[in-house]
Amino acid sequence: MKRLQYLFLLLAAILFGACEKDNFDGPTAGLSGRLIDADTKELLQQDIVRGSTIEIVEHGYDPVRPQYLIVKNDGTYENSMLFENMYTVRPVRGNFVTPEPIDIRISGKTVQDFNVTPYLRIQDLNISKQGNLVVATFRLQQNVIGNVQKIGIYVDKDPRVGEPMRLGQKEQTLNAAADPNTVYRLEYNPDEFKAQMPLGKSYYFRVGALMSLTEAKPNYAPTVKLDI
Amino acid sequence: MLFSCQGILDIKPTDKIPAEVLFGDPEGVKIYMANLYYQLPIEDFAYFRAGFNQNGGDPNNGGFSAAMLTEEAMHTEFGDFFGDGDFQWWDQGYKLIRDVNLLIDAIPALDILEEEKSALTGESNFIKAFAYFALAKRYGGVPLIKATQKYEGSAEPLKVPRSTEKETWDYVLELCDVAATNLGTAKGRRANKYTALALKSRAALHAASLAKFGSRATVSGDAVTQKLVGLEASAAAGYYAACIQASQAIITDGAYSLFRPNPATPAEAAENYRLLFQNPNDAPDEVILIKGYNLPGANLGHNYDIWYQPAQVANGWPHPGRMNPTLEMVDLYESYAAPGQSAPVVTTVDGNVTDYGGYDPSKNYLRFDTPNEIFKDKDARLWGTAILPGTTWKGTNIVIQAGYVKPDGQAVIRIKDQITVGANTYYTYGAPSTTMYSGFDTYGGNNTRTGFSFKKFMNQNSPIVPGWNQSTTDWAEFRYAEVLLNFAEAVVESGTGDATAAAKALNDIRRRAGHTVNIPLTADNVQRERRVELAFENKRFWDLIRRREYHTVFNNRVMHTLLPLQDLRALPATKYIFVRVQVPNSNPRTFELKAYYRSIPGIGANGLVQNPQY
Amino acid sequence: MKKVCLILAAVVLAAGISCSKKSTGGNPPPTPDPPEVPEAVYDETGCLYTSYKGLVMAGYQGWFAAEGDASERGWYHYRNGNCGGFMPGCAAVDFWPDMTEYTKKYPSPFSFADGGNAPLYSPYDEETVDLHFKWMKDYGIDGVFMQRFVVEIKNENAKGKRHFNKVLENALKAAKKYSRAICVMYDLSGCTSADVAYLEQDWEELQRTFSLFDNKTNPTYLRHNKKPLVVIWGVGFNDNRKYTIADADQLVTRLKGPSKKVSVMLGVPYYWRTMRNDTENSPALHALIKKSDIIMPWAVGRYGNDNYANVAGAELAGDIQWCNNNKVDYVPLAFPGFSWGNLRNDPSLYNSIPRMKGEFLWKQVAGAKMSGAKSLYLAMFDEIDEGTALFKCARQNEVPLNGNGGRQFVGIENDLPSDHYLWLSGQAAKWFHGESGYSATLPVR
Repeated sequence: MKRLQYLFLLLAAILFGACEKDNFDGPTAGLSGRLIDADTKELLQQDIVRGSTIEIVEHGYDPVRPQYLIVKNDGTYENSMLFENMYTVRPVRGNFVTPEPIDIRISGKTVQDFNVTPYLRIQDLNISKQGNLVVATFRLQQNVIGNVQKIGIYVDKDPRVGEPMRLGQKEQTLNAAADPNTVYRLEYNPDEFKAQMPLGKSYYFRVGALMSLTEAKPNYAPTVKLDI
Repeated sequence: MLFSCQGILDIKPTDKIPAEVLFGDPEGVKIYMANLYYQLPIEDFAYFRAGFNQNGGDPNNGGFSAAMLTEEAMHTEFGDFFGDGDFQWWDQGYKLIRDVNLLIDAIPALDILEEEKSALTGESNFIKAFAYFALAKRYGGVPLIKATQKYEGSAEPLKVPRSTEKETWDYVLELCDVAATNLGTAKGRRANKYTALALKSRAALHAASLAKFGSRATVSGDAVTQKLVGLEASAAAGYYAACIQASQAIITDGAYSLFRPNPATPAEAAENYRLLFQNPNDAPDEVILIKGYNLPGANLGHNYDIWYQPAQVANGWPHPGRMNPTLEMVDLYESYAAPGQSAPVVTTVDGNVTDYGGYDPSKNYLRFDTPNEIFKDKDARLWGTAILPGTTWKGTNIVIQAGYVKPDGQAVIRIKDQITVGANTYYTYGAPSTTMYSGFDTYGGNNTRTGFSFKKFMNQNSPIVPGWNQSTTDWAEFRYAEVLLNFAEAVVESGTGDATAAAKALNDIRRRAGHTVNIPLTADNVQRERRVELAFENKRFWDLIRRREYHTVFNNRVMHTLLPLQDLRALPATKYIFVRVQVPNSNPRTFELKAYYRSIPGIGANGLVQNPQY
Repeated sequence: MKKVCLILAAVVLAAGISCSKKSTGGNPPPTPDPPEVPEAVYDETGCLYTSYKGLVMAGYQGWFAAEGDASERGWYHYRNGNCGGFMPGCAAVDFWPDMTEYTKKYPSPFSFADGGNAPLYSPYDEETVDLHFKWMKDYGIDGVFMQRFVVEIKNENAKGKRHFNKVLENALKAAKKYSRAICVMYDLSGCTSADVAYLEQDWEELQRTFSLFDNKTNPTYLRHNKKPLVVIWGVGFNDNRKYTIADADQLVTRLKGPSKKVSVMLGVPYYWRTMRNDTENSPALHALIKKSDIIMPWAVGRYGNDNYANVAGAELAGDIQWCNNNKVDYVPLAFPGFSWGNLRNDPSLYNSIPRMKGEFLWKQVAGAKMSGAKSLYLAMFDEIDEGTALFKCARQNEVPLNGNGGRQFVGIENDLPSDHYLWLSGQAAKWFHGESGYSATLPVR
């Protein structure tokens, strides 16, 4: 019995100790920034779901589980719940050439932009109603080796429309390198999707193109609002 | 000895009975072996997202099965998809491996005949191979604990790092070979030589497919660079060859054959197919390994009958009808009129099968005399797998109707309503009360929302017992048809091996299903045949994984429903039309690349490299 | 309890020690600023090639000699010492030059199927090098990098040095005549640390001997960043070289000098950025690269037609992004194929990376272009030992016999003209010059 008491005491001591150790202050620091097309200096458009991520690895822990920050549709990101510390930060699994990681100290409101090369640029985009159809024409500039898996025009009631989030779409499989001399054309038929998107209203249209690369996300042109 | 009833004998060998005492007695070894079989990761009637043997404790998981994560079926209510914690088998896997290693250690010292030792060695290695196969297909490369670990005061030496995925698959196949070499050919409920070869056939095909199709879905991270996940394309040839070799060894020995291989009519073929799964014990020529469910009760019986039989036969059970085969699945089955291609259900005169826009009075619908005439000529296995609208099950006409078109051309669909025309009253769901139909009413989540209910594995002989774990239908884990399909796939995908024999394997299975026209051996034909023949046997899930098709097949994917409507414009004739629509109340689902591998639990403690994107 | 205290104390102590170590190591004594030296300025009036940007240039071996030429080096580099020289069944070359247009030819120990002798050329002859540069002009290749193997031009190797100087002399003359860019490229392969240092001496001598930087004498000598360019090939490879990155770093520092006399291009291994596979894992490599003006990673043999997209797709765009961020120019390499069955005495190595009628070369040209490369290095103009040659070679049905022991020569595909790869190189140059109409699709002649 006596021995058991000691054990309990020991246990209590350990528990108590553990509690004290865990009494850290809450996260006070934040990291925000932008993904910028290194050439055009424009924000690099993203998806709100299953889009590019910012990987941050806090220093001083081993093993350490990386944290991933979501990049918003417009190419900005922000997390205001980080502990002040050194971190290795790197945009990954995106629609751009993965840049080298950088080590920064995150404290207060730290801002870190990344200049990146998008896999693809959608250029000379024109989206217009032609009869019953919505027709998109554009050129593709490819900035990395490989094939363009598919191009598509995506439609939704929500302005954050994209390949993963759409009620209607017209896609074309390419599986070939982008041809700089070709004007690509997609014809979207609103009739096919009127069960989800009744005619006579306005919707958001966004043209995207996906490289066939490891964990690649689609590249986009800016969203266009059209009445159909 | 039947390993079915050994749940109650969940012996904890190392803390209750000293190993030498247990293994010193041949009966002790048998009991121990039974427990190992019980732990086998067999994806059967008790396999759900939470894991294996989900037939004790609280088995209420809504009846959400692995088939509902594929195009095979929808649940009546749930629209779930992959969760990070689903289908895990890590701690249990290493427990089984530890347990089987203890037995392997003990075998040399056992006081039994050499041939008995050989058989035990074979069985142990079969179990170990089965365990590592289950780990490899979930996690990729895993720590290979090839022999019993001894704790000598420090946990560090016991921490084994992950081997590469290649090394892990090679080890699985090596264990299969050891098992096949040591096992005899006697049939029973324990592993024999053919069981080991069938496992090898399945595992080698899995590995070969990963190697061949890995480039369809590449990911990044430490696990990739260290080759803990992923196989080189160059490894495919060797694995396909291993699959061909193992499959052919079973085929040429002739110990197994297809159950009732030459039916006279498609109707007979459909019934044969149903019988094969209602009681696999009646098909010892085809079934290579059975997992038995001999008695009702917790950890003994299972719950397929209560979850999945149509609402009309629920017999007081409050939650039937959860398995809803999709229109995609029904479309897939061939028509005897056009062999060698899937036969989507044509509902309109223009034949457009991609129009999911809903009922439109201006469209010209085909009219049918019965709610199932539209499926006439479809592969017998559709009739043996799904309960189709207006067919008989347990002496009851199963009513599956989504609504009607009123004489004025306006339709009432998926709304409880009735209309009197002349002397007769018509009901949207085909009958006046919830006990009299099985479709589309959302009442209780008991009625199919795809237009189809479920027949395969269902017990037709006795009424549902309205309680948990009352089903005793046995599970066929390996059957000859799968071996034939593995063989055909390995030949056609590798472009090596006996293509004539592979084509014969493919067409033998079709012949058993009532087909009379042979089709050529092509990759597409093999996959369609596989999906149809092995439907709902929890194979499609892994086919999508191993062929790296999941992310393509499930990219914003919605499933579809066939709405049977009575067309009252035809009165006094009784006529039905059908409308193809998206499954009601369903959302698109997308497979994320990371789900090709499960996350490894306990990384913080075991120090292993985590799989990508977890 | 005491034990715990002791352990804690030990930890604190250990931490204290490591900290103090760090702090002493972290404060190096301040070095005095070097005296300000004015940056070298060159008169680029009349210079035709003031930047590598926009150019497609090839490597030029020029290392062959023919029995009977004035070099007195026998069948140098045609012969294969591992099988006894240069005779049917034994050679160092896989491809055979198309000799139709050469004015000076030497009968070789090889014959065609019809019994006629199969002659060869020597770049020691002025008219031969002249022809090569004429082809460059005819097909539109911008110019060449003259390979200079440090181990072959040492003072103790008088004939070697004389050979390479004569070939360079021929080339400088022809480059001026045909307005082709030309540049010296040192190859450090086989060097010791001392040899690396010797390079500087040779380089000074070359400048004097040929008035290399004189804009009148050599108006086509390649310049970059307003200075003449020199290339150092072979920095950062992890194949147990006898010199170090530090040796190369010191060399680059000395070549540039305080007045930044020259621009330097480094030939680096393919995986230089991630420092794995063929690359030494040393941060000194990146420091050196940042000091240089251009890098050109060695891609020969790193991929073939089937895995090009996988291999280069992962490297090239990331390389270029890294270089953009670090203000270093980047030149990717493309090669038409690879074959060294005779050099390695192994018939399985014939056509080990098949040319696919130019498909493979063009895939790399397009890959470089779409990854954002501004210039291109072609390996190589006249490399027939490893079968990467672009110049006119005999077609498969025109090559001489090579003994009866399963040896052969490899030819250009029979249904192609012998100048196909020259023409294709010219097409690449046009694309890089900015002409339109080119894409990933192989151009049709």
